Amino acid sequence: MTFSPIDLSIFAVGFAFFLGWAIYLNAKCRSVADYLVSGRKVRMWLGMGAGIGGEIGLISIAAMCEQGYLHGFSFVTINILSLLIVVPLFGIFGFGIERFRATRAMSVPQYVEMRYSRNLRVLIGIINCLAGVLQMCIFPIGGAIFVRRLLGAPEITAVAGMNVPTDWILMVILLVCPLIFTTLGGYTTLMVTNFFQGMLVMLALTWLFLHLVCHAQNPPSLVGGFQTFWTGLEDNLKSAGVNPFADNPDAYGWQWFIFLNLMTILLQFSYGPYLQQYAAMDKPKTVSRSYLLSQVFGFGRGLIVFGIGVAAVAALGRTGPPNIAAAQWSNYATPYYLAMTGIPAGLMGLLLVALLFADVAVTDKYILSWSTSIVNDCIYPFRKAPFTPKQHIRAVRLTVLSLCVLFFLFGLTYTPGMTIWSFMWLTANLIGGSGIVVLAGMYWRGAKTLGAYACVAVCVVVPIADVVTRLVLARLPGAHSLPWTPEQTGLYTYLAGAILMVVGSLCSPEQSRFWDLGKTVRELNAKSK
Amino acid sequence: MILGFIQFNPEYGVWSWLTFWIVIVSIILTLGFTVVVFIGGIGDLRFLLKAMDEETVDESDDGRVVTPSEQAKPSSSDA
Repeated sequence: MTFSPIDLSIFAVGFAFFLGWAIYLNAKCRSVADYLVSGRKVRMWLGMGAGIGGEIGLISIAAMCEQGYLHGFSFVTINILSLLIVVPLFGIFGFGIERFRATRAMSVPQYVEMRYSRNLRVLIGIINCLAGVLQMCIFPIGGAIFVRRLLGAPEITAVAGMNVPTDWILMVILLVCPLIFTTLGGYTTLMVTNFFQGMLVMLALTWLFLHLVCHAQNPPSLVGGFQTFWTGLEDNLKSAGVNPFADNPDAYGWQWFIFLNLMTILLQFSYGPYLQQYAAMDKPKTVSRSYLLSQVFGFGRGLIVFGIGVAAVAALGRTGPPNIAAAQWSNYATPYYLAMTGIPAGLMGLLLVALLFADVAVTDKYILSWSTSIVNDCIYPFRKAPFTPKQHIRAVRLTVLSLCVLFFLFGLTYTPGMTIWSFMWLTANLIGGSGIVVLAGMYWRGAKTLGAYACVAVCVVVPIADVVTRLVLARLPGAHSLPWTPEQTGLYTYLAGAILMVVGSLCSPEQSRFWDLGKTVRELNAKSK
Repeated sequence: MILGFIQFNPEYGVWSWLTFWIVIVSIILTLGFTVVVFIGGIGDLRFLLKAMDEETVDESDDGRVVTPSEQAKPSSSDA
């Protein structure tokens, strides 16, 4: 393990910088709105910078490196095609996201109560929280595995006379740091520290990518390195490394592409962390502008991370060492390659600060969002008397702490058995049904509670049944599997959910609680000019 | 096939060289944009800090949905 005094100094200075900001902002936080949505005073550039930071978490870096290792740069084409759909939809027309901001709701379930009913709010709150928490369980352990391999640290470390798995120690660090920063100032701290972290991670990862490319050949050279890097990609991944729709079992395929886009669209209206970020913006137009610029220019950001995974496959090939199971190798390949190549002093310190605060950024954002939802949507509705602001904030903080304990316990028993993205998409699938409910609620006067219940039910039951069935079949003797892919399950579930939303609403005699959000959006945007 | 300074495998046709140049151009644009965001973000940060000091606090803005009948009831607050 190489960790020089320069790296230690950089790490210490970086940590002190972020901690200083967190302590300062904690003193300035005066209300629940400040704590949960930054008082709705975040403007476009700060929002965008925080968005950059909030989207590049340690688990995202590990996941994208894995995808780069498995599929090369074929995601480029998929991303461009997706941009052609989502950028006009959200970035220009502000479809759905501007209306959500105009509701002044802090969460999806709060909007659901405003539009439908309190009982539906509680149900959606519970489902979304469970799915979101389940998804987050992988964050600390996935990040710990990546960092340990990167550092070349041993599997076991002696601590106070006991032999402790190093992954557990790293998990504690990756959980305690977000806890500190979430406690100090809530969402305001998160937005500001994410902003600085976003800039830092861009610097560190770009430097790392260029370092790996230059050292892809001996003696190091940028142009020669790019040639070796690209030829290695072509030789090891063949057409699947550049063409996502190639006739190759390693290619992504059209169904994956359609599912990805549908999921992306629906999650804009159902995924708590996204919506909380929109709720924090100063006006609806800021939401769509921020989205537009983030998507267009964030494209290159992801490619830098993919490139690090591509460097690993170009150098190592597809087959891992004999002592690592094939299902786990794709998780480990990139940090294993980085440790083998060696990272220069200075860059290592910068990289570790960047990775730590990448973990803090995303864990903070997601844990605060889900904790807010648990308190507001699963606890608050059952209380007879409302919380005072202090009690409310204390309840959110206690929930954050409880979730950290849960994630640690999950990490103690976790072994990678699928790609990180597969795990995250699978759990996000459960939340997509509420996206249909929210979308219909904002745009269709006829959307009713009965239709919403039917939609949510099918979008939870079918994916869970699919997962359980696959697990049971995998344990049976012989090679059994369902005749369709998980992406097909997701796609047709959403279709069924949408149909049930319409049919259920048309059959319901309930009085609709629709109000014209389009008018509110226009008024708010005009008021701020 | 050589395009620019890189030799591409002709077996993969346009996919290989097009993907390569999209990657390079995108990365360069992203780095430039990052600098712009940093400069703009510092200005917005100053605005946020000032607004947090000057805005009046609305204690009812805490994520609840209060119906008209609940609004009419006298409130009992915890000490």
